[in-house]
Amino acid sequence: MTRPGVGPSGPDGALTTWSDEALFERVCAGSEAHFNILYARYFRRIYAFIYQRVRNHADAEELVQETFTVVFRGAANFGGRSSPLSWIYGVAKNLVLNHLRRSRVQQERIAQAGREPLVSTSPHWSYGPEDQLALRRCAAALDAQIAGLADWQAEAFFLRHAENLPIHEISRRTERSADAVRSGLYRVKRLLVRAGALEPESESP
Amino acid sequence: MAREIAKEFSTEELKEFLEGDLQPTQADPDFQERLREELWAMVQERYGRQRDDRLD
Repeated sequence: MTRPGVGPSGPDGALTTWSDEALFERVCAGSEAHFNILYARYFRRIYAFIYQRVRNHADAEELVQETFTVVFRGAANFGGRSSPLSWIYGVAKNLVLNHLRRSRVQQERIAQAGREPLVSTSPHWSYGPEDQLALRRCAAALDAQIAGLADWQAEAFFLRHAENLPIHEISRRTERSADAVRSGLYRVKRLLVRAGALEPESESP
Repeated sequence: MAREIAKEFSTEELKEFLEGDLQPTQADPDFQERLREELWAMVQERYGRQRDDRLD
């Protein structure tokens, strides 16, 4: 059950000699070696395809994760309905289109919120000059890191750590899978650690 | 199969998708490895794991 593959050539000859169909069969039989070949064959294609459209690594990572999750969850059931190549492409394309649609709605909501007056609910704090300098530095470092985040990830972090909501509720509110929420929270924490706002030991999701 | 792929892809789309192989990796290698581990854990949970998975 082999034919010349359509995957990238590489030092490992197996990358080019196993068909996608044969690899899926072996993955469903529990073979890690064949799983690794499939993953390596499609990771770069999917990432490049998605990144080209969303132009944001945070969103691209989330969508790549969702694509592979759908693909490997459904691996046993797709059973020749279509070629793996067109199936995987279709999954990635649909997820990207849904994402872009959601982003447009979210941007409209943000624009709407921006037109409303902002009323501070914070208690009054008094800082000395050194505190203010440290805060400004911290804020600048945070701004630099947060620029790489998707809006929904910042929202998920707020819901988790300011409102103490469980993952399933954040998943519902942000319309993302629980896996995507966990991955997003992990990414935010990683960025906060890099900005010096969190201790490295608290980085795990 | 070629006909079936052609039905679902335009030539440009297929070309672009496959050309991802030729582009330098844009992804964070830590992300790539972490996702591989998570997916493999999911696959094992779903389908089990075979003892002998040599590439024969």
